[in-house]
Amino acid sequence: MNINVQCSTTASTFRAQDGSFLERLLFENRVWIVFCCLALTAFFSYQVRHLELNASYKAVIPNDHAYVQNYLSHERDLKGLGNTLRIIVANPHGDIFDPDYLKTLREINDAVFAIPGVERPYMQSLWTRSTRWLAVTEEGIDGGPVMPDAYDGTPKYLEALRLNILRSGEVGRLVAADMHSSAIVVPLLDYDAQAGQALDYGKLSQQLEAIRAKYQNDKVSIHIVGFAKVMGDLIDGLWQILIFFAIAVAIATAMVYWFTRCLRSTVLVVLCSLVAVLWLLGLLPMLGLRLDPYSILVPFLIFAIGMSHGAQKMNGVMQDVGRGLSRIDAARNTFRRLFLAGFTALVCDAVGFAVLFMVNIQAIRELALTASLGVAILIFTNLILLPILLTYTGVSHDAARRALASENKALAGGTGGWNILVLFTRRPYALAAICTALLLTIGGAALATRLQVGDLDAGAPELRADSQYNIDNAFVNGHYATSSDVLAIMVTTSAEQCADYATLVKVRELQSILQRLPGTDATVSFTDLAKQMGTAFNEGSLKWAELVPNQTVLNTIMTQASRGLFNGDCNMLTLYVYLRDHKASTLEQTVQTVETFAAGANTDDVKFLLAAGNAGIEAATNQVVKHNNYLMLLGVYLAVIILSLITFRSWRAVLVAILPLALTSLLAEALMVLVGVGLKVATLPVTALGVGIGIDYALYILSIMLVWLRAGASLEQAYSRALMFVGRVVLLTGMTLAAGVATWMFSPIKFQADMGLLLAFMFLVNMFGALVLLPSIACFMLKPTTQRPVTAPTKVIENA
Amino acid sequence: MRAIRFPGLAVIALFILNLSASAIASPLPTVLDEPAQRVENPEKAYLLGIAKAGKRLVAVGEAGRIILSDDNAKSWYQAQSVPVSVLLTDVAFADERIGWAVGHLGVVLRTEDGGRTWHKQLDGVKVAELMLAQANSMVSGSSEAQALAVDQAKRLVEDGPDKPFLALHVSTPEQALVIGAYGLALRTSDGGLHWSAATQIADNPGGLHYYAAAQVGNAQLLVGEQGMLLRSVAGETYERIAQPYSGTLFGCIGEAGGPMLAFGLRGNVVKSVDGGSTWKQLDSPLHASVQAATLLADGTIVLAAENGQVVAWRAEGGFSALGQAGQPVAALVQTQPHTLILVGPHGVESVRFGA
Repeated sequence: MNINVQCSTTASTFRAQDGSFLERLLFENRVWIVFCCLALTAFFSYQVRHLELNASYKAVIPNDHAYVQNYLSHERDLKGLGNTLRIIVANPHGDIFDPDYLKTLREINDAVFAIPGVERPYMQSLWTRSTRWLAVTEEGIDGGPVMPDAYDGTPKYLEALRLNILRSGEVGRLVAADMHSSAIVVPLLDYDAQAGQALDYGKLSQQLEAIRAKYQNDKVSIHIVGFAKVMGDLIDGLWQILIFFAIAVAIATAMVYWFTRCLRSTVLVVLCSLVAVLWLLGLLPMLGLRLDPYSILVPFLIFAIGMSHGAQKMNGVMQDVGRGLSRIDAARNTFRRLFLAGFTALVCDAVGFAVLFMVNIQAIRELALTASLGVAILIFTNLILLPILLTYTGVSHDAARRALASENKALAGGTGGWNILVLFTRRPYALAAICTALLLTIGGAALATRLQVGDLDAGAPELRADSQYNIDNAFVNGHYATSSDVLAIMVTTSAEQCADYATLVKVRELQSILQRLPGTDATVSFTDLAKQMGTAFNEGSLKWAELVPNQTVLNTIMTQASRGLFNGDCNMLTLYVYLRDHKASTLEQTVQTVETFAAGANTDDVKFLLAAGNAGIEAATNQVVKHNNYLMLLGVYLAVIILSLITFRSWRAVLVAILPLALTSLLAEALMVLVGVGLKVATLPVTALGVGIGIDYALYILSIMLVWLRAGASLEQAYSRALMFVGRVVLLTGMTLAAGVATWMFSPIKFQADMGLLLAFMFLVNMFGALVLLPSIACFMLKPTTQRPVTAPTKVIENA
Repeated sequence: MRAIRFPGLAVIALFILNLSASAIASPLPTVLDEPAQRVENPEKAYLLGIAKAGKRLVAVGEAGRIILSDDNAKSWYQAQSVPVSVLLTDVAFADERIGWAVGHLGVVLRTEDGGRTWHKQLDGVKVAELMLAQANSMVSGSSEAQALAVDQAKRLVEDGPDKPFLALHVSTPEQALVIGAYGLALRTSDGGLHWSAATQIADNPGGLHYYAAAQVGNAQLLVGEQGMLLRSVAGETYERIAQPYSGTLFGCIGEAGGPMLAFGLRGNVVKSVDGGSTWKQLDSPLHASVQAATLLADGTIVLAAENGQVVAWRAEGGFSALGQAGQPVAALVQTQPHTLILVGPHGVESVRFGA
């Protein structure tokens, strides 16, 4: 980065024709530029109406991973993992054998039945006729619908219902073991034939909430769980994000106003940053992109970055106006001085984001693309449009005077409150700072080794532990038999061989191995059905619960089985493993066990393949995230090191810039351990974003310092000049960015809150790193390169 | 060979596939050779049988699981070695050391150290070979009966070891009777060195499953599907006894000289007071199938059902409720005056009663 310090600074010496071609092109066609930007803004505003908000399961899946490949190639056959909602209707003050409860249940059942997208024939509740009971009698197997046909709410029929439920085997599945609640199982169609379009999770969730609002009262409580509801809640959460955006805008505006004390220019900076966001949002649908729960955070980031660069332009213009330049000349002068600096910084950001592209997870790639686009747009709106608009509006003269006064104070050598920071260029203070940093490094490293991969909380990890969804989920897990963390193993066989005895014995062997793991709640496969049917076919004798080595018997059982345990072509069996939780260690132990078993048991015909189910996909994601974390850090640091080498042309300066960043990365991992956040899709990009933006600070400060050092100034002088020129803005930048992303911490979406916390932390620590640790390390690494007298750079001071 | 007549690769390919498919099915199922796994909490398993070996309790169940307790079911440990991992269906002891266990795939195991180690005496493959050899060398009876026996035994060999033994009765360290599916019944009188068919085909022409055997006084009873009840007095041949219930009987029980009960599907219970000659239906308080019974020290008969109901029956006074188990009951024994230890799909459970 070349900061142009050779520009004239007083009204008498400023010559417009000294500007570069670019500067002349832009500033001599100001009207056209403004017009173009207005036209573009209008155009993109029009495009924003196409912008879609959605959440997609596949977007956060690592598509390259072998598990995911296995899953995707058998997705059609994995209907048992289908998109199913469970609506639990509970009677908090009694049991389900209550006529009022049953009436409400029926109404809810009918209301849910009417929702578009519900696969109606397969819906199940106490009120659907497909819910049946079976009993073994002398004549064979007897059965009927669980709800007696002539039910009229009288005790006689309530008793019959109780008996039917006990005989149906639905206790634990459709009816809670304590008989205080029952479930409505709602399979969903991914494609809604009625509407002719894909299922709209947002709308579905609204319809479910309407049902909840209508029927939930002190006599009935409703709990809804299932993937579709998680998606719906995520989309709801996205709209709430708008509020945080407004708060972020307000905070940033206040900060810039506090810094400039000029209403005009503050409004202008905010406006330009908002224009950048608007362009970005308009551009996304044109590129076929949409906002998801991850990329929705990018507009915040772009806005915050725009604010910090805008403030820098404003700072320059103010100082120049205060020095007596006309508003046009001041804007041009600032453009000369800072366009390249800003440009390089933005390129650095973009590189930081681009490194994320290494991770083949769609959500992260889209985030990277959106963020890079946004940064590119900022070059136009905040580095070009902003100075041009300033030529029309000018700045408040009081503010300009104040800016000049503070600069003059700096020129006179008094840096006020900044003196404390300048102390760190002296050896004792520098040593103290470095020792503190070393201690933090040791402590951070010790904590960071305990960094966990994956999600650490129970329930839907996307949402907060105390969200309605997770409360519902805990209720369901507490009262019903099946857990929500399912890992499915696909057992492929040759055609028509899915019920082969030898294969089933292997499947059962794997089940018994898995059941011995502490993390396994239960396993379910066709072998369990075969055992149950063995008993059922033999008049309920418990002694027949074994896989009988008789293929005819097994084939007969197969015809009785529901789909989900094997596929239609009978060349794949599915083994479901219900896990106690979805902690990375649980998942890893499970998949390792399966892989070891598969290595010994796979043949040409029979293969045990991982993995489907939410836990299976998460196991794959964890492996990818863990693998990519270090690769990505390596990539980001390599990029940053190369960029700063090009800029500084000094390996010592590169070290001075990079070391504080490395400490920040380490401390961020330590913080994750402290607050109980795991390394996951949402937190993976944070490091790259943090390093990409963190290097800005070092670039600004070190560039100015190096100019002064090369001019022969002492380190103390060089640093105090850098502080007064760009250090103030670094402080502002750090605060603005941190405040902008900190608002995410209030997001109902857990991973957004995690990202917000980590980014805010990184921005702040990076800021302190650049202001405190950077001069301290410089104290030992950098020295004036020429021995010219200290007064010599006076000319440069004037020119700076 | 018919396939050869049809030209075309597809048919031949199909033919070859069929051959290979049957070739895969023929090797001995691995569960017959695989020792039972050692696990944590071995008593949490699908268990079907429980018996006393002196003061020790021995229970059997899924995947060759055999568990022992020397402290009246407070704590359990696994048998040191069980050579198979099939579902074991029943266990019985002659004394504190000698006992047998039976299970699926025609498995018969014997222990001589009170259940610590077991060795396999029979499996389905051996049973079929044995039956065929015996049928071939049959001397008594008509040639027609022999042809039928040979025919049946050959089918047994072809089917492979898919037939389970479902129950057993052990009378002395040398004498045991094992019975099971499709009319399979074998006995030994030399501790298991030699086994021979215990019943004639004529006793059970339909090949119905035998579910239980009991010795009451000098009468031996076999019960099974479709109300089948066979009785052999003092070692004579079995005779079929008529009884009023036509559904499956899962067991029978009684004390020498006292009344006998046989029980089965849907809580049906029949009673005999004349050593099993005549039977009459009892009005039973049980709502579900009864698959387990035991005799208390005082002669009370205890029946336990699939819905966990546990009831007592006394000659005077009839039925009375005793307790409620948390699972279907597969078998039970009395350990202390007021404690029953029962087993079922969820493992071991104890039920206290009276007092």
